[in-house]
Amino acid sequence: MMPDDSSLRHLAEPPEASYEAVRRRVMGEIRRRRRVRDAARILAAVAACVVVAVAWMLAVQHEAPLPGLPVLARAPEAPVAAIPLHVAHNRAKSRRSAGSLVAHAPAQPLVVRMQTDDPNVVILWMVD
Amino acid sequence: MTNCPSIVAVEGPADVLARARLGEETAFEELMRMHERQVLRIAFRLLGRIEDAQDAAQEVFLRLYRKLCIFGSLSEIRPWLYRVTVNVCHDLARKRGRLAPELPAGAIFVEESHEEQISQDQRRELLAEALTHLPEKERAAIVLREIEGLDTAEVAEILGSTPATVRTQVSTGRARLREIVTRLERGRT
Repeated sequence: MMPDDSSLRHLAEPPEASYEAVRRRVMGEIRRRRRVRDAARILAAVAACVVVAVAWMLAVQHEAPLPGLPVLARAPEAPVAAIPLHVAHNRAKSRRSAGSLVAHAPAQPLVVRMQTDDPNVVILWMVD
Repeated sequence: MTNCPSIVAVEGPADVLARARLGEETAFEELMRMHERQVLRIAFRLLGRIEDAQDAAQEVFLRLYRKLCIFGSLSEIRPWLYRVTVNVCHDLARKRGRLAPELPAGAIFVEESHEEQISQDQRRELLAEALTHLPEKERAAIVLREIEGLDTAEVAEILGSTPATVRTQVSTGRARLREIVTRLERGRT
């Protein structure tokens, strides 16, 4: 037998059902790949959100002030009063040294007002 | 789907390529219908087994799906499909390490008497079997030139060779085919 053009061109054709089968397989594979790609995109988006959220939380933590220790108001050292305490015993002498202060208000107690860091706390020191 | 940046709008419902490039599944299915006979028939001729041919055709169409962006018009798809089909079939045959030895007799479209029918069937079966025994390049040249009816220049472009080489391959392939058919006929009688 001689293989001529006509015999070659009339070789067996693929069965009709095979075309449909190929089409179905290809479309199935395309859909499967699309699903995988979409899932990967969703995962990537979720991962990006998580990273952004964690970064934001870390940034906020660094900016917030540390919980401070309780502030203690410390009173300043008591001022050394430059007032002689022996006024009564040595009046004559003190008249000369203390001047008019003692002379004009001998009955008034000496009050030293001390301010602290806390404006609500004032220490009054009365010297009788 | 294919992320073609140049496509911004579809020109019309008939523009199946543009619609497929935009990710429309029905459009791609339409593209497949337009070319499935060409692809599956060549794969069947080259591989000899319908199962292998289906695998090859599937791979070819998946490649087409991925490469839709490279085509400017429908006319560019056909030669590309020929080239890819031949390559995929070669790869598949090498990977599976065989050329299918059996080829079922398929549909015959010529009205013949019963005796003639049997004789034609046997002849086609022999010829199809002989075809699978040809070397890869000669088989591809014979299938494209003699069975698909492409001209020599087209076949040369698809196979990446010159028209002169194709002519030689076809001529050698025919002679070899004749020998194989004779040998097979002797083996059966």
